[in-house]
Amino acid sequence: MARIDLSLSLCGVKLANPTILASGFLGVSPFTLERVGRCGVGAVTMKSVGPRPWPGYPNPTVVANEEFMLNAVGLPTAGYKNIEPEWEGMRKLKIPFIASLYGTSLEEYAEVAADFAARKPPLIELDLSCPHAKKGGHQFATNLDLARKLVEKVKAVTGRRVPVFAKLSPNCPNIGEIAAACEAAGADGITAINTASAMAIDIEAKCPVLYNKRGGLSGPALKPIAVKCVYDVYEKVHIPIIATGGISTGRDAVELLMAGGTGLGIGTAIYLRGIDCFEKICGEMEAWMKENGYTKVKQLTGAAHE
Amino acid sequence: MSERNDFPRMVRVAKVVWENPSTCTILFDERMDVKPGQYVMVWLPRVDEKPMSVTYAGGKGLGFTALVHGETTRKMGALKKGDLVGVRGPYGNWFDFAKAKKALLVGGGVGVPPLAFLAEEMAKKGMRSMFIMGARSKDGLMFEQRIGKAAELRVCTDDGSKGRKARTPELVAEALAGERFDCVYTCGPEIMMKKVFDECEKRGVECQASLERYFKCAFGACGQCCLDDKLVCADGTVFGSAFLRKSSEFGRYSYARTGARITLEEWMKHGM
Ligand SMILES: Cc1cc2nc3c(=O)[nH]c(=O)nc-3n(C[C@H](O)[C@H](O)[C@H](O)COP(=O)(O)OP(=O)(O)OC[C@H]3O[C@@H](n4cnc5c(N)ncnc54)[C@H](O)[C@@H]3O)c2cc1C
Ligand SMILES: Cc1cc2nc3c(=O)[nH]c(=O)nc-3n(C[C@H](O)[C@H](O)[C@H](O)COP(=O)(O)O)c2cc1C
Ligand code: FES
Repeated sequence: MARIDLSLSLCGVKLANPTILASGFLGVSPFTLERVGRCGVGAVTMKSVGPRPWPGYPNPTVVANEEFMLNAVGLPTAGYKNIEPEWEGMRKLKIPFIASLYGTSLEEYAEVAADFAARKPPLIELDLSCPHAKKGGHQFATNLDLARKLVEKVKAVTGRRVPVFAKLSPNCPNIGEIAAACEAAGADGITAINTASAMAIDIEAKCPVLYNKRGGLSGPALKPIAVKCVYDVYEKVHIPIIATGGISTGRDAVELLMAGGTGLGIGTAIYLRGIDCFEKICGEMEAWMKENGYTKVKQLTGAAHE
Repeated sequence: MSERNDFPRMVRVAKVVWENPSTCTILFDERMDVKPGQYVMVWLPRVDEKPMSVTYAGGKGLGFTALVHGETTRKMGALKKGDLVGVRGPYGNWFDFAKAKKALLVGGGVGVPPLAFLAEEMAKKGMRSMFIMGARSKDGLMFEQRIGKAAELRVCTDDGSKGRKARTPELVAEALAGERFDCVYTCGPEIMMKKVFDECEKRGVECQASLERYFKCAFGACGQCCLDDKLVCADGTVFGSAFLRKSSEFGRYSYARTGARITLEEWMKHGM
């Protein structure tokens, strides 16, 4: 019986399996990322780091049920100048990490990216869905022109040193085109997707539940949207995709791979299945692959496309 | 497994009781299965949501006790019977007293409410316990009668306005020197708990401390409340000696809302 091989290479970075901790989960300190590393994850993503210290929104910032999670944490950050201990901790990790960053303007993205690139992390991810962008939230991820300019500007400062992934939002009608524009501008990969705009209202309180009122949807309810977005992106680009959104079982993982994922971003599953969800999902993927005659995870990427 | 729902549920305030000039207990006509040491997330719509330790559960309804000092707790202090408040939980682990025969409880300031609940539960099991309560002055003391019924109460204040003029760790040192306790349970300012833990270590007595950090999700997903590789909201809030001994952050560091690691002193100053 052939052994199942879950390993892969993401722009030259070797991962033992495709599961990747999504940005914003357990990424406040390197100690917790290290703990995730002990739970069979292939790579971890830091919490997105911004240009200046920012506390994010007051609570409620994260609520959830079995179908979905809603969050408006608001991208809190100590600011890229104040995360020396994090970098130190990240370098000690036994698995690759992805350094996530954001800005509120093109210039700020480039400013943070230049600092990041000089530290040579294995991979950089640009969170293009900053909700407090100066010209209105989420603009970089939903405006084709801005997304292209942003990636160009960032690539101009990062050069070839570090592969750069652009993380896109589902809150647009043309994610495939936006991904293609990012690729043309020099992006080395696409992460799809961030959360979908959403709101919950408590009817007794007659009031939105999140302090910020509007937030982002993740978890099982996001999965069909993620599958469609990853499918769209895969049709338009040749660079690898970190497929993210609603993965909580091995079957979900296979579905997102078939849509076009090379890596798999996983966040809300931690809430549903615990920190060891990565191990569980990998085990279930392996079992499914065995049953269905696959030996390498690479065989699944884009398998649903004609 | 029951269906998980971590959205706030609106409940009506049944009663507000002032325990001292700056501390009030909010009670709800709610049956919730809560163990001493667990907390709920309390939501005041359009204001904020804060973790609050449960001090009453079961027959008396659900209750927590807030020290009124900041914006949110001031608004909690202004709540009236019939007002709607959101709660979700209970969350976290709890004080484990299954094996203890003789316990020492050490509460400082607004760390007293969950321990008052613990003392009552211990008394129900027929356990003998001693309770050391400390506050800055007599105006910071609370639940003296309630605790007195369940345990042997010793009181101290920083200014000597009631009980001994001393700090709680001094009384702990004396108590441990005088009698054999199986376990020390503590809740209060972390600097105090660190000193209490150090006293326990000197005597080789097990200690369980309920810790506080800034919380967001309360269910172990966001990582805001990290303490070494633990999540205080879900792995805690109660940690035993084995962890406290090897922790590099207990008594030293916490994380600001920005995610920056700051010293405990700074954290106490700026709050969260
Ligand atoms: C698990 C857990 C259980 C808790 N249980 C209780 C409880 O039973 N009763 C209770 O009153 N509180 C409890 N707290 C703290 C509570 O959640 C609030 O953070 C606190 O009451 C401040 O709320 P606020 O909005 O009124 O103050 P804020 O507006 O946040 O702050 C007002 C001022 O208070 C100071 N401050 C804020 N937080 C702290 C702190 N932790 N230590 C010292 N100074 C501070 C700050 O300097 C600030 O200037 C608990 C916290 C945790 C994590
Ligand atoms: C609480 C929370 C915080 C998040 N923070 C970030 C962030 O800082 N940067 C980012 O790019 N995405 C962030 N996300 C989005 C996730 O990385 C991910 O794209 C999304 O949750 C979908 O995946 P999931 O369904 O597996 O959770 C956050 C999501 C949640 C729920
Ligand atoms: S508050 Fe989110 S993990 Fe503890």
